[in-house]
Amino acid sequence: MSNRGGGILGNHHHLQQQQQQHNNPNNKPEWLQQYDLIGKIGEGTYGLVFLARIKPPSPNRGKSIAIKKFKQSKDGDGVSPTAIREIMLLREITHENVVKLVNVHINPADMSLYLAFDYAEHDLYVGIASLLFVDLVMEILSTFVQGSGMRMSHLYSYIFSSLFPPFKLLGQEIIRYHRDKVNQAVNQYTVKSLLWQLLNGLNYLHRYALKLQGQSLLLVSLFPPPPHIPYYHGFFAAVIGSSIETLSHQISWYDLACILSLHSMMFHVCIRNFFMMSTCFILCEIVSLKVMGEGEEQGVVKIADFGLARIYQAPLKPLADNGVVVTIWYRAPELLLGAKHYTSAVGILISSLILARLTVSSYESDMWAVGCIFAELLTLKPLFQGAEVKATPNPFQLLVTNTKLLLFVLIILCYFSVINTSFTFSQLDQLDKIFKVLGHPTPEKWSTLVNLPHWQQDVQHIQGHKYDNTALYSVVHLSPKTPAYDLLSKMLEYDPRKRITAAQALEHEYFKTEPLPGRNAFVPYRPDEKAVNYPTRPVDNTADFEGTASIQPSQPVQSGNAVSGNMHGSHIVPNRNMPRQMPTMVGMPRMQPQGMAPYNMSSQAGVAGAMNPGGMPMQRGMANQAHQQQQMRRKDPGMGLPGYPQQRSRRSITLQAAADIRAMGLDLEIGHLTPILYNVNPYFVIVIVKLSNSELLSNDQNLLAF
Amino acid sequence: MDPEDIDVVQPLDRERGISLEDFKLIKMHMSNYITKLAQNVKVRQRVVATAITYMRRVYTRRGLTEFDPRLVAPTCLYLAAKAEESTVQARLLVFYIKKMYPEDIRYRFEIKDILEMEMKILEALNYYLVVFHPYRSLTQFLQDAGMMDLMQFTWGIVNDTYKMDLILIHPPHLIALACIYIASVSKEKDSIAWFEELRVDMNVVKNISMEILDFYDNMMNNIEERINIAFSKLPLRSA
Repeated sequence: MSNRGGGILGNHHHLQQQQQQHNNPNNKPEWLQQYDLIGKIGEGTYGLVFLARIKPPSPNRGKSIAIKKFKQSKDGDGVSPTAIREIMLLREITHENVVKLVNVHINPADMSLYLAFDYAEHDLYVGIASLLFVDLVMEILSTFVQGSGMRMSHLYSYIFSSLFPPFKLLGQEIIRYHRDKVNQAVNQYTVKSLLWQLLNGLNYLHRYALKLQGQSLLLVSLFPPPPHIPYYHGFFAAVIGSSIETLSHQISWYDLACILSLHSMMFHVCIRNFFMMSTCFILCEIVSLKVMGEGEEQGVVKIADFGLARIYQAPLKPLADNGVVVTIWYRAPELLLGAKHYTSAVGILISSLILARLTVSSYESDMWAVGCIFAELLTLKPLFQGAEVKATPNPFQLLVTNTKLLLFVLIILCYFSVINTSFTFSQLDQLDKIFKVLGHPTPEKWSTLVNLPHWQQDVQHIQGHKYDNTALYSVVHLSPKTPAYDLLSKMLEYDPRKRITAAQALEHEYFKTEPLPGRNAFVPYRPDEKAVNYPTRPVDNTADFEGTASIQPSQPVQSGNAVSGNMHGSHIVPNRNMPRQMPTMVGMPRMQPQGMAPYNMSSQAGVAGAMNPGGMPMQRGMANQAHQQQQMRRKDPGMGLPGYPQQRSRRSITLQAAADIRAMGLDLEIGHLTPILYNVNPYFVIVIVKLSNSELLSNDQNLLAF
Repeated sequence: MDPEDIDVVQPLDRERGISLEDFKLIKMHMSNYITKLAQNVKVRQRVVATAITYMRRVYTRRGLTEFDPRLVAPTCLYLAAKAEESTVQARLLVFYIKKMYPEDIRYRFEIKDILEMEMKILEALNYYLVVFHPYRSLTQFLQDAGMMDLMQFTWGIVNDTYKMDLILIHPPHLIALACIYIASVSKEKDSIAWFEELRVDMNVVKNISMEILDFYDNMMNNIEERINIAFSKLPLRSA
């Protein structure tokens, strides 16, 4: 009877306790005591990520957990909407290959929110999935462009953040590691297991989307969004036209991926504030394929980071004909040939790897992408590496923050060319690459081929070269008889209707022959094989849950935090100071992870040892190697990869951007919405400026000053 | 959820003499309150629907005495707005609450109260925040049936269903169908053939329709007075 009363009392008691703990920062809140904090593994604008292990009394003791602490919002807006969305989606999704939300904790004393996740050690090569996402941004952008009364046949978009600390980018991608460091093929078992898990996760998400009813769409995000933006009233966005291909040869895929999430975030705000588009096509994005690296779940692929993901409910307006997008290496031929009925067939929106839509045919371009990834895992090279259009370097973007007032100023430069030809060179080249490997599609093999617009429009071009032979097996070094080859060729089937589905692929013979795929992609399949030691994520084990380092205040980065420790949660994190000196420090973002390395390093050996008491094979010798690898990574951030576009220094691009902006004679009006349209042949420029706070002015001057 | 799990008056509430009838009335009144508040801060109907659903979910686990409905209602709206991507500022809500009840001390809340309650509600909801509503299927059904002229009428009925706990009990598409059924019967549209083509259990649809109609009947007799009586049983805030 007094159950409820007890509850209240208990609550009060709890609250009191919390308050006491708040006053005494050395005391951990009660719920935290079930974890052993190992260290900080990441930090971003949304908050901090810690690595922890579950303490002994629990049956899961020793299990690694990533705890994401959201910074609480400053302006009294409670739990951050980002956190809410992430919780929302993760609560609904349970699958072995989707990262699991283990627990949610609220600390009422300081209103901070903690999400405890399974810990994922390795990020699978993120560019793959993410770049396809740009399609989506395009779709949104083009909608808003249409809304603003412009018409264009092609639209390219690109947005970039130089602020976002690319700590996430420190994730060690397996493919890159193999290509650059080990110089040997990924072992068969690993390939198979990763592929199987990828398909398994994909299959689940496809089915989940089906379950969601109607035209539901589930999108998964790669990087956390800037959490402040929703609160943010004044913002600054510039949208400048150009083609993404021009950018992609300057900026690594990796960067691009990180940028995109920010982008779409920007678009949300943009669309919500200015264009009030149809109900809720605010959605996002990419997948982060995280590969668990430790313990029981070592080597299990997880689709992670739902920070920006949405359940998509309202159908997008069908868009007239907007074009091709960013990286097209993983694009299915039907998209390249201009299939444009988004609702009925493959669509721009749909090509994203994990993006799933109810229309069954939409999954097929996902499968094409999986096929490309499969081949890339086998050969360590992108399968169809179309040429990027070389053009003048173009400005990209800047993001400026004022740490004091926590105002974000964003500049987005989106590039879209106007009244372009309906069929670009890069598309053509991409198709050419595909045809070279797979042979020419014929209407007999692909019955709907003749209906695709570009096939008809550009018959001579496309059909000009004749490639009759299928050379796929020689490219991937597989005998045509093997099940692996069979599966790959089914994924790379021209006709989307004949292409294998995720569910069918999981049933494929390839996964039933030795070596059988396993949950742990990294253990050696045969005992005599040597396990590959992938570099582990650097862990800063000096941090505590407050994001402060009370233990070793001598360490430079941490000491900054320690100072703000008392008012923790006030968002002041050292790297956030950076943008204030934006013009002079444009090189910073790239350097930041490297800068973090020294203090990570000191902890690395100890952590790696402690992390794996069971001595899983993969972790053997980790302590020594981690150190070495860490050093290697520092010397070579991995940007100038063979086969991947060269990364120019961020500084030079930024300066270039500044010069270009000035060259275009852009007037940035402050204080009100100013859409400026410039027709800088052949690009279009839109600048949208909305600033509600004079504080932004100074940032802005900075921006223009450089 | 089963109705048996929802129509439970928590022991502490029962102690104060709150009957099941009072419980329902208070929830209904709070649904209206959320709707009115939402009109002020201008959010979409789906946010309102989500907010009401959160509120009803909360009261399946917590009592009225424990969680003051006058605070839970705006907080649910606040949370739903975040979840549905149209964040409303807490101070705006506080402002409009004051405007709606300028005199009433029982409705006097600060931003801090809302933020605190938000945490408690998140916990009470066990962090399950996704809600599906009949609106989407409603449009699809009406289009399919070629009865788009009934849209507004039916939409209104769907809105009214949130004054009950239906959304916790039945799948949204069946609620939509029930509303279409009521609309088509009262406007004397011949929809029987269309309903027969659907592969749904018409008995369930008819039951839901009956519940809605019962609710309308019940609404007729001096509802205001009954709400006031119910509210008088709530404890005053010990501020």
